Amino acid sequence: MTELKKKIRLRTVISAGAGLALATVSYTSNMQVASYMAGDSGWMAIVIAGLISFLAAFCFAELVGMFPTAAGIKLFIERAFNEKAALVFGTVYMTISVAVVGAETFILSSVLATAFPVPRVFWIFFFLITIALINIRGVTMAGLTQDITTYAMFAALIGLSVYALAKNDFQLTTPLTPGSGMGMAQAVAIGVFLYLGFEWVTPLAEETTDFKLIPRGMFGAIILLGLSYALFNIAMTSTVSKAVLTKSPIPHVLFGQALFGKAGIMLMMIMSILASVTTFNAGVMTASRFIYAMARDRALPKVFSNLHPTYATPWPAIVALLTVATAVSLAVNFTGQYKVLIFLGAAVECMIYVVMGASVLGLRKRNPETERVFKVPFGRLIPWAVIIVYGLLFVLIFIPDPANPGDAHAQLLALISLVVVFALTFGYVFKVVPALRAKYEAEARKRQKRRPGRPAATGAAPGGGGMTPGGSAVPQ
Amino acid sequence: MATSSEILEALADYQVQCNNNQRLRKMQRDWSKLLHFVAKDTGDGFTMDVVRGEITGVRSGLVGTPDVVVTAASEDLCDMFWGDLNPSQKYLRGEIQVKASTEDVMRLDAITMIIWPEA
Repeated sequence: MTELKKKIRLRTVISAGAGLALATVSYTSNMQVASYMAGDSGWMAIVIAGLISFLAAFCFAELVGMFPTAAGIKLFIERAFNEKAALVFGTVYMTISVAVVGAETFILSSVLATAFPVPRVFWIFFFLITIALINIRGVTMAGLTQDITTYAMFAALIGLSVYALAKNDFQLTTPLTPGSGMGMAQAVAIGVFLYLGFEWVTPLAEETTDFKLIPRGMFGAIILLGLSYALFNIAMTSTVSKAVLTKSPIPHVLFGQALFGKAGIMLMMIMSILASVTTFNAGVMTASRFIYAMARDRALPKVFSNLHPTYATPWPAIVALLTVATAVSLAVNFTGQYKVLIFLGAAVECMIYVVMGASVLGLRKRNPETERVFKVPFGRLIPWAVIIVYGLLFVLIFIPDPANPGDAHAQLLALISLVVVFALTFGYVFKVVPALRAKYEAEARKRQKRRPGRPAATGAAPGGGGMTPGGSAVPQ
Repeated sequence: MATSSEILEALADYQVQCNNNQRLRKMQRDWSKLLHFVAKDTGDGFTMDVVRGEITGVRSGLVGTPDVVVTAASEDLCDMFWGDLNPSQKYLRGEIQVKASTEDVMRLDAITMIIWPEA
């Protein structure tokens, strides 16, 4: 394989994965985890969630080794099962991820509204419009800038945690007693949400010829996240009353205030902005490219494949994406139901890991001869473990915990939202997409082929695709 | 299978189409890259120089250290350069592989998107 001019390093892969996962909403969900655990034992659920994330990372590593492309999750599912399954799961996953952007904006706006006396709605619009403009302009954080920002943020997180623990003379309340088994299992399920994003480094496989960087980067990101989150969890609950922290959407600001007063609020505001910027930097870009790719694949209306005439960015996709995020953010602002999105995010993450485990098994059956740069060790054990463990966690997310009756409403709303998103996606994939493709197919048939001499191949894979009525392998 | 000369002929046409498209030239004006195209079934390689959005040269063989490497079947490469194939669809199905940054992949697809939006 020819070497590329630009080389990415391991530190950049780690910072991309960890930076994506560490968002402002992570502080809120960190305390959500704590609320299901006794005393200061929340760290245990975070560590366990991290350990099982390793299992999911193994599956991603095998899949991305087979298909080192930014088309990622959609391609893995399509090759293991079929295109409809890929479209359904890919769309649900991306839609919920965009909704989580809405929650992220709401929480960041809450932080900014605490630091500056301006209504939260102003900050929501300000932040999302800024993100839209940055993305349309095509400004991305370069490798070194991203590395410095991300590692500075993690260093600050760990440093603050150690400082807070030292200030409290390391006095902890039952740090090794997790409480009820059910509570702990649910805490682990929510803890999965804290790692949401580590797998989004898989598109970087396209930017390197040294494939091993990707699994190493994923494992590095999980370790960094687990260590930082676990320390921060203990530091927060040992500094401020857990009852106060778990009721607030901005627990880290309360923590900062308890440590340093007004300066602590400002510090946490800066950390929130950095956390959100690193998440949005890659998150919005990846999601908008997904929408663009879907449109180019004739699975969404053509309008979403339009590019900005100067910056070559998919501006209709970016605008659509941030419109949805704004709507979600405003809905959360007026209802206060931010926990719904935490449950929803955790559930969809568990869902996608189950699908990835199944994809590994499916591909081993369908394409046993295909070269695998990395193969998950111990045969089928780990993919099956991923399916079972994450399948159970997925179910647990929606079961009300008697110790946390206040969350039952949010859990129910999350379940209803997921069912609605799935139902709409099914309808779209099975009804609208075939109609769209039939329309574009008719247009393509009218078009004169330019290649002299012989009829041109079409975009559809021979015998593949099959999304047009009758399943013909025609231009899609 | 498309022969090397067929692909070169397609590339020559592609060069003319790209360089004559003012909209594309404006969009790609800051884009200067060295691209390699590899036909995986025949093993043929091709090099393309892009300087500020203008394709300044296409030749047979893989020359220099590339910013972008595109690997596909020779037929797909040929059809893609003639504008008869939507490369995104092949890419999304893993039949065209690209090694490049996200932005460069986007810019590459933008070329086809602008010249042949109906492809």
